Amino acid sequence: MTRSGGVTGVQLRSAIDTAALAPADAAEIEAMLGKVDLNEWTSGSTRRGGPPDRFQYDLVIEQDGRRHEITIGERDVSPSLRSLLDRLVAEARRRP
Amino acid sequence: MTSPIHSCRHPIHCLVPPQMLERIAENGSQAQRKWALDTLTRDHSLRMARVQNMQHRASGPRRADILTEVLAGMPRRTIRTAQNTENVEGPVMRGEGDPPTGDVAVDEAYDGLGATYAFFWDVLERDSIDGDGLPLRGVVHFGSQYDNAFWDGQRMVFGDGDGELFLRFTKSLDVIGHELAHGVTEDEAALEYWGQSGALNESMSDVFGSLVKQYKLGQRADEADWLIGADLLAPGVNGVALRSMAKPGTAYDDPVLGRDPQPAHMTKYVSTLSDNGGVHINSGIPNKAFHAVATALGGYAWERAGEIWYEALRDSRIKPRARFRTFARATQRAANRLYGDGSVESKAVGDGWDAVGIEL
Repeated sequence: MTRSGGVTGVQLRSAIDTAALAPADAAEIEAMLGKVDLNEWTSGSTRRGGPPDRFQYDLVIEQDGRRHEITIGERDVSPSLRSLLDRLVAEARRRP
Repeated sequence: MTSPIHSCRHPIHCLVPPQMLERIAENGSQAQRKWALDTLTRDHSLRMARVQNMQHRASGPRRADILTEVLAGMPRRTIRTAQNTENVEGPVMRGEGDPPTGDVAVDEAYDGLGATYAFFWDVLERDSIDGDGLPLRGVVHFGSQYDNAFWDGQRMVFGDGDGELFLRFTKSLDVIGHELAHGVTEDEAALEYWGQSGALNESMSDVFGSLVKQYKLGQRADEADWLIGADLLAPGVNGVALRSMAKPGTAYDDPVLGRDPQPAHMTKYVSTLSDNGGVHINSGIPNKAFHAVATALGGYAWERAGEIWYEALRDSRIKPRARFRTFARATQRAANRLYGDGSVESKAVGDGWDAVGIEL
């Protein structure tokens, strides 16, 4: 995941590999993913330009041998996708 | 010391900030004190006269028109709280003329919108975002630990920050100015928020945001820090601000934030699909051009460089998809129109764009 834009212009990046997580943690991520309709975003979700200073999320999801690429503006994030993105942002904000 | 009278181009909307006038009125020579007091009194009387006119004429038939006319020069602010939700229609915390609330974000938004309004009115004779007295709506405490501020087309919205990377977004006056300026740009040029036109849109907000702060502080171009968001990086973050207009690409270098990605020259233009095509990245290029022009001219950046940029933004040849060069040419035309072909201002504009690799 990459979160870009916002007035800060700061880019946050993170990745989660469920295979490397503890089973309970992985199950939680899988559950979040399960609620997201990936097909909804696989085509035509990239738009030129948006409202000023809102966040843009670029997300790559690899699942069961399939790859989904999502570009989505902050305002268009559904509640189910939101919890997944929040988790990824928290991951990106962790100090090394 | 040179008398500030010489830098005053408009007899009424003098370009010397009020708090500087107050300082001169207290500490200046006898002649300077008299001038400063006269200027302050005149400004005050004008505003009082408008209010009296309004009271007098409000009973007449064209009340709405008259109100609009006589309220010019006065902001109409309403600050709401989202109560840490994303509801922008939460309770009103402070309306125009209300005393401070003690909620620091509310009061900073109120004061910051006031300072931004004063800048556009005093310096550019623009009455609010639309030039027609649009009420200023601010929303604070938006979202939960929200690391952002934005203009949503109708209002300026501010998050509290997460406290670890960013502090509350009302803390930097230039960020408040940045958001209001998005409204001005939308009204004047509707620059599409993508690629070069988007980076120009961003740069306009940084330019006017920085000028709002410089005007408020009474700083000359060589005294200003030219930083955007210097107050809102949390302690422990390795950086000085979100962006540096003087030295794009040097504002921060931190394990979580990464390194400031802004280029200062066209040869380093960043092609990317993130950030709406790099609008907060490539804005470093026109930002640096403005800084170069303002510092070459010296004095108060809002007086000549700021006026030229503002006139260029209003140029009818600036279309929504304008690129850097189109805008650069508009600044050149504005400088020629305002100060003459071959003027120092005209030359400084040409040199400023040349310094970032944009040929006129």
